[in-house]
Amino acid sequence: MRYVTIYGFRASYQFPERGQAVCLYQRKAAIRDGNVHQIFSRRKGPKQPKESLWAVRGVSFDVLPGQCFGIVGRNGSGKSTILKLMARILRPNNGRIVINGRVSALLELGAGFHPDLTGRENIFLNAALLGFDEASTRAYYDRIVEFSELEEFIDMPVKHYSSGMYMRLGFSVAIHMQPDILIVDEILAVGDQAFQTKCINAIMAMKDQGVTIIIVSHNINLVRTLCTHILWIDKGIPKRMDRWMRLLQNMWRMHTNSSRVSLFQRPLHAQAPGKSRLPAPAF
Amino acid sequence: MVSYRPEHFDSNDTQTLWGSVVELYHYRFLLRNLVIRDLKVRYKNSLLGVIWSLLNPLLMMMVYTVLFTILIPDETIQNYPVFILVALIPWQMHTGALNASVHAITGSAPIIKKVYFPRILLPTATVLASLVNFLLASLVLLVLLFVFGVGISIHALWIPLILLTQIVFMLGLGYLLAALQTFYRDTAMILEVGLLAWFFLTPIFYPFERFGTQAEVWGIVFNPARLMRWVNPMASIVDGYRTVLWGNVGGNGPAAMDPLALLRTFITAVLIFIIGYAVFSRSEHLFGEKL
Repeated sequence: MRYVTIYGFRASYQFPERGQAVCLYQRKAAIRDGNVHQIFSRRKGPKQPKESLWAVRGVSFDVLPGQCFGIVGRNGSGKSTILKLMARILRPNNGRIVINGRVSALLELGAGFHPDLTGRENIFLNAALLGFDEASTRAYYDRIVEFSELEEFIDMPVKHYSSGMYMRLGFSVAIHMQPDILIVDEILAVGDQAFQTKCINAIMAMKDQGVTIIIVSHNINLVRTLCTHILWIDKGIPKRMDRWMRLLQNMWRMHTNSSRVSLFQRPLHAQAPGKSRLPAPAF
Repeated sequence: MVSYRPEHFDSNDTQTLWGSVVELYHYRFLLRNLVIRDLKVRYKNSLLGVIWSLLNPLLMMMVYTVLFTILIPDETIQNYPVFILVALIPWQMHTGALNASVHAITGSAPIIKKVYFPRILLPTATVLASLVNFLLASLVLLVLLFVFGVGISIHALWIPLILLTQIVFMLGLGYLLAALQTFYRDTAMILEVGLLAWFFLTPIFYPFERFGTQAEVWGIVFNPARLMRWVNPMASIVDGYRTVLWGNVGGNGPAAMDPLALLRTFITAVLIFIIGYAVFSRSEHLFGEKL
C-alpha cells in the first residue's frame, strides 16, 4: 500500500478541522466473467472470487479547508469510486475516511427527480434528498428557480423538460446547499455555453467563500483553472501526487500519443493558471 | 461509537441505534416528501385522482357482497358489506404496503447510487403512504357503518392499538422484503404468490369462527383456530378490527376484544420489526454496490 501525502504533512485523523476531508482507503473490485464487479462483502468467505482487483488501492490524501482538490485519470481508473466513497454511497473494504463538514455531493444532477412531478415539487423532493430542511428550502426556493432560469416551466412536469433544463434544475438545487465540502463528478457539461459558464462561476464563488471542493473532470483546462491540488490515479493506484503543474506535464507526456489534450491551449476564460480571475458570480 | 452528527463522518464509526434514530429525525423532511411523492405519483394522470382511495375498497366490497349474499348466500352473517369492508381495508393497506416496500430499494436505484441518505426512509415512506390511503378508505367504512345502522361503539377505542400493531408488523416485513429484494430479485415473485395464499388464510371474506378447533393431517391432530392465532398475525389483526367494529358471528354487534390476544400479536409484530430492521441495517451499506 502506497501512501502519498500532499505538501508533506500528515493529518490528524481524529479531529479534522471543519471543512476538511481525510481519506485513507482501499476498495476492492473483482473480475468475474471478464466483467468488473465490485466485491460483494468485506468478509472473507466462499462468495469472494479468487481473481480480484482493487478498484481503488492505496489512495491516501488530505484535503484541507478551502482547497480545491482535483482527481484526474483515464476512464475506469477509480475516480468516481473515490467520490462515491467520500459521499458515503460505498463503504471502503479497509482504510478510513474522515470528513468534517457538511458535504454536498453532485454525482449526478437531478438524481431523484420524478418525471411525473412538476419542477416545483421536484425542487422540494431533491432538496430534502440532499439533506435540506423545509425552512431552508423555502428560503432558497426563489433563488433556486432564478438560478435555473426556468421560471416559466416550474409548474410543468419535468418529463416535458429537455435534458439541458433537467440538468439546470438539478444543478440549481445542488449549488444552493451551502456545503462546507462540495464533491463534483464530471457534471459541469451542463446545458448551453452560457449556463456552463454560470455553473463554473458559481463553483468559483464557492471556492472564494472558502468551500472545500473535490472535483473529477476530464477537462484539463477546468482542472487547471480551478484546482490547487491534483490527484492523478491510474487503475486505482495514485500515479503521482504533485503540484498541479508537474502533474499536468506528466499527464501530457504520458497521454501525448493517445489523446489530443494539449497543455498549451489557452485555459478557460483566458487567464494565468492557478489563480481564479473569473468575474464575480452573478448570484 | 458516536451518536449521529450530520456534519461529521468517519467510516470507522459503527452507528448506534440511538444515532440512527437521531439521523431519522434529522431527515424527517425527506420522509414527508417521500410519502407525498408516493401519494402524488400514484394518482397522477388519473381522472378521479385521490377518490380512487375511496372508490377502490367500495368496488371491491360490492364484488364480495354480490358473491356472498346473492350467488353463495351465507345467512349467518348480517350486514355483509360492513363485514367484508372492515377486513378488506386493513388487508388492502397490508398488501399495498408490502407490494410497494418490496420495490422500495430496487426501484430507487438511481437515487441510492448517487445520494446518501438513510436508506430505511424508503420502505418507511411506502408503508406510511399506504397508511394514509387506509385513513382515506376508512371514511367510506365510517359512512357505511352508519348507513347499515351498526354505528360506532365504545369498543372502537381498540382501533389505535390494533392499527399500531399492524404498522409495526408492516414496517418489519417491509424492511425485510426491501433488503431481500435488493440481493435476490426472486423475493417479489415469491411475495406475489405468498400474498395470495395469505389472503385465503386470513379471515377476510369468511369469519374467523370458520376455523375449526380440531383437524388432522397425516395423523397429526391440531387446532386450526389456535394455529392461525399463533402463526398468522394478520388473522388476529383482521379479526380484531372486525370484532370491535362489526362483532362476532352470532353476537349482537361490536364487542370488546381479548387484550391478551392483542398483546401476543403485538409481541410477534415487534419481533418481526426487530428482525426486519436488523437485516436491513446490516445490509444497508451494500445497496450502493448491488444496484
